[in-house]
Amino acid sequence: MTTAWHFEELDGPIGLLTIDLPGKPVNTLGREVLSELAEHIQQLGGRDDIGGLLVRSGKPGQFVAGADLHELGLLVDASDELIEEGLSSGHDVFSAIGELPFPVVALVDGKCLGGGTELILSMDERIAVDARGVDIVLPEVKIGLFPAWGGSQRLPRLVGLHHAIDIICGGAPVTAKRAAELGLVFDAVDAEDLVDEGRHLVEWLAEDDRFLAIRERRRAPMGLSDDQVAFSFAVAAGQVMLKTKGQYPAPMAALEAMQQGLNRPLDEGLEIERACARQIVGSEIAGNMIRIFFMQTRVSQDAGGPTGVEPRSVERVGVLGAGLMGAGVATAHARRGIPATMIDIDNDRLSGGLKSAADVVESRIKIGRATPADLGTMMALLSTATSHGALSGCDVVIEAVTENEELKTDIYAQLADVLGPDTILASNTSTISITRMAEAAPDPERFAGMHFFNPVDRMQLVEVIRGERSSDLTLATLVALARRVGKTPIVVKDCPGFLVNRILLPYMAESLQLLREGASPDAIDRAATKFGMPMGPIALHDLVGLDTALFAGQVVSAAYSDRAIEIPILGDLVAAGRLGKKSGKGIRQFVGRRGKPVDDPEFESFLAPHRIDTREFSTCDLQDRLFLPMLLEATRVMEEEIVAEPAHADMGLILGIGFPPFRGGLLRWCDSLGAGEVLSRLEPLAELGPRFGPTDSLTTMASDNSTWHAAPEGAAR
Amino acid sequence: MSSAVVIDAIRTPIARADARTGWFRDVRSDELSAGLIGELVSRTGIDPALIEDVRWGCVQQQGEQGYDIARIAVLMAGLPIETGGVTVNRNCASSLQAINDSAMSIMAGCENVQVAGGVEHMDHIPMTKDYNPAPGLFRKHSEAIMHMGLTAEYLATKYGIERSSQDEFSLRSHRLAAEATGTGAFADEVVPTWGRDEAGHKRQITDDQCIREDCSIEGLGGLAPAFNPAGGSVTAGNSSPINVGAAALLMMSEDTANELGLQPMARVRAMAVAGVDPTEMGIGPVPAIHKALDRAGLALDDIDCIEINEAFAVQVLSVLKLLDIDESRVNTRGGAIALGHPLGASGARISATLLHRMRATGARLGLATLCVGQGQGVATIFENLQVQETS
Repeated sequence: MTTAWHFEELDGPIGLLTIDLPGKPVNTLGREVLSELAEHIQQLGGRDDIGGLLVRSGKPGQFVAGADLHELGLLVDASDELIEEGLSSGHDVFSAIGELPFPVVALVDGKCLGGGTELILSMDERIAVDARGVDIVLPEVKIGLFPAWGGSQRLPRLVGLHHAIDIICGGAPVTAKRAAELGLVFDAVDAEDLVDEGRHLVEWLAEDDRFLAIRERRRAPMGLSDDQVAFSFAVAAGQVMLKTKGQYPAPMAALEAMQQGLNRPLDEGLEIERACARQIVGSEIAGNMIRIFFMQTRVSQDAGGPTGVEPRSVERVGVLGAGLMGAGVATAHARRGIPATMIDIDNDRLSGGLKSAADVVESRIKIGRATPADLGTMMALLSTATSHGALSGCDVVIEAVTENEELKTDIYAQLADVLGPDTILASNTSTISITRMAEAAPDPERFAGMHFFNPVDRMQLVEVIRGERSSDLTLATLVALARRVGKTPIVVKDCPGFLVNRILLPYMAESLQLLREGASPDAIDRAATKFGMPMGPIALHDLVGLDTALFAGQVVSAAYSDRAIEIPILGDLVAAGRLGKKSGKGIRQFVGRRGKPVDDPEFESFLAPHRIDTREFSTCDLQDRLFLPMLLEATRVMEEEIVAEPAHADMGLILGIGFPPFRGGLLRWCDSLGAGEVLSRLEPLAELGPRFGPTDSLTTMASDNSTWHAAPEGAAR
Repeated sequence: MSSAVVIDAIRTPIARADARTGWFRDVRSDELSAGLIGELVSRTGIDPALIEDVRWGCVQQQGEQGYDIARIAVLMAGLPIETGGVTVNRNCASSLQAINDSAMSIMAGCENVQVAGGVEHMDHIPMTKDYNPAPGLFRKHSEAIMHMGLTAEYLATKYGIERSSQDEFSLRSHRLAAEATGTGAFADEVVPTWGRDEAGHKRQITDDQCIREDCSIEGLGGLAPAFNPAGGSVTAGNSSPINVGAAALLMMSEDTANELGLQPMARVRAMAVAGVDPTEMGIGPVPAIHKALDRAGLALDDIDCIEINEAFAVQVLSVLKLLDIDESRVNTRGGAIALGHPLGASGARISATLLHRMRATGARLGLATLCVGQGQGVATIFENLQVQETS
């Protein structure tokens, strides 16, 4: 007996049921916890002396965090019987709560997620504490599932269809106050009033058996007209499809469950929900997304860096360079309360940097995600200077000047007299060898790479690059710092291109090669977006800048010249000033105030001298050509132990280039195909060059049927 | 032509418009409206499918009171989609206008079963929000006509109403309102409504928030003039407060009431609108009452019960003086000075109070009237249909 639940009687008597999993930081509704609850509910069902029941959590700030994620993860590869059991475990006990002979009120004074929300929906009323961190959420769609313990049926009957769709398909947290406005909770109260207000509400509900009439109303069909149903769902489906591009089935399944169930009695609706859930819970996509959730959790706890090393404390950060990246890095620190000093050569550049910083917060103020006070707080933590002397008080200095090795190493030399004996120097370089530049740093052991992605305020990934001489303390400190500013750090062994660019650039290069062979920019991009990329490689070229792509491409292809292909067209375009979106023309041209990309007939004149074929490609052809080189490069990355484990490579690409989460990651995609299948797809492409040659790891995996990621325990399929 | 009758009249308690202490400070106008309309439907047992239109008074029709709050309230109350909704603004008399419009529509054989009432939330949408008067208006009139307190002061001067009389009248309003509350006289018209008490707890409200049981002449006398600090007589104590509330009446043709087996409270006997000089807007009821009486073929002495909205004590006293009425028939359960004046709701509020007074006392004829900012008056005469007529 886990004794997660504790029952006591208050004056009245009114019952108080408290959930507090011993030894755990949060309350989760695992199988055992639910059966224990079921036993309590059964006993309480026979109590005709109790006036009502209050249900609360014993953990401050945490109500119930949902189902047990480990159990949920297993469910994904599970047999039909196990899935059925998983669905029933919640359904049965929640329905039993709804049959208790007295009113039941949930007292929510902490985070309430997923199954926890469905638990409280099964009760007569809910009261939440009006405080930061008290949120009610149904985040299931974010891991490829949807609320399948009654949420899709009880929530619409409680708050109406519109808000239910918003909450379930959006998965965003609902604050206590907002929940009260929606009728999701009865009221948002002060913490010290919670139990008294609960009691007051129980008494009101019990008066004249009001709660029974309310229960009946909440179990009834919702009575929406055909027009109202059709209209609501057409609008909602349109929005979901726009967001998911049809690649994530969970929100659509949730809509289906809501739509089919709402005009029926609750019992029938619950059955419909189970039917819709069965398809989703066992699906590969849900599996992939749950695994990504676990991967993300693991990666955020273990970046692949040194363990057992206490990071140095960082009170102030210096940033060299107030350009786009430098300003972004400084802003990221200031926004999280870390004072940051930007250094650049003149005041114009510095004020440009400050403006970029302000813009980041202002854009969020516009959408209600930040307040003017936040802007003030952040700006107060940003300072600027034109001399390196200002860096002397910094614990970490991040160099983000122009991508030029000589410029960078000259600066490092100048810093020798300025930096403290413990100061860590990190470079935001995306292409230059950390190990080599370390030689110019004041202390190679206190030098590493800290590679942020553009735009810094929206890209979560930071590659922390371990140079040959970077110390464990240096790495641990940078990893901790990246976490502090809300990023996901992954430790990467120094190599050209590090992790993300190394794997991305073969894909980028291949897209240009495909142009030479006759594929159109639109066809190439479409193949990539159909695969699940947020944008295609041609569009990506124009977005990052053809000069940037050229330069980075040169570094990487020089390093991996045994397989890299020459792309002369890029140099021609750059020489002609066609740099992409930023110059109005690249491969495509950008028209109008918004810079809308359209075909540019002039491009043909650049392509013509490099054309080598005019063949037709199917979407599959294009996808194989684009993604297999990417995959092969990833296998080389693993062979060379550039990152600690496949999860790091997968998360790096999901976060760094938007590799589609529904595929679970690049190496997970490889696992889903099977190494053997990958090899057979490579075979016909072998004649194109060594970049399509199977790598050792793949060949081995094909022969012994192994995978990058371990299969989960207890999997029945 | 059919007669228009009132089946039932109800209101929410009236709260103070105060963001910190007002009992409806976090209840929206549309919620108040929809809730009350729903209550009216369940109380009367009327089949919602019969309700053809809802006419709802509201002055500051913006924000949560915008987009035709009548129709929004209809949708929120779950009335059939076939029920219409229109929002009416004749400033302070809006919901008496709504009642009159319903009556006219019924009498003309247009929409039949209707809900007429109104709402105002003077904390969420203050009176002065987006105040933007035309400079052209002030080429003809003083800007002071936009300030009710100044027009009240003018009445004091023009009609010689002393400070002491105003204070006495205000004390009377509080005393009678407190009495009516204490004896349960309001129980038939006030519907318990969810709000939040001063301590912050969500509770069902049943009383009107502004009634001062401890009101005294000395207390009133000690208040400084609010609108003309140098020598004025109108104070916060002898003016109506700023409020939040709603009121609603179910109306239909007399024939339909008979068909449905419903016992009407009263018939609408006559209605009128009249304009007066904006400088003395407070006497608007005077010509409106004359016109209504003429149309009804009645004399003022025939009227048993009168409700004059107490925008200001001086304003009611001016009307009484001009019409030569004594107080005994007027506002016997207190008035707006104690109960409150939620602008869009007051017309229906005083009508509800009037109709319940008439039913309780067996009075035959009643008159509800309000003055209106920028110089108007609206009046309605009701005839009690629940009196045993000895013919």
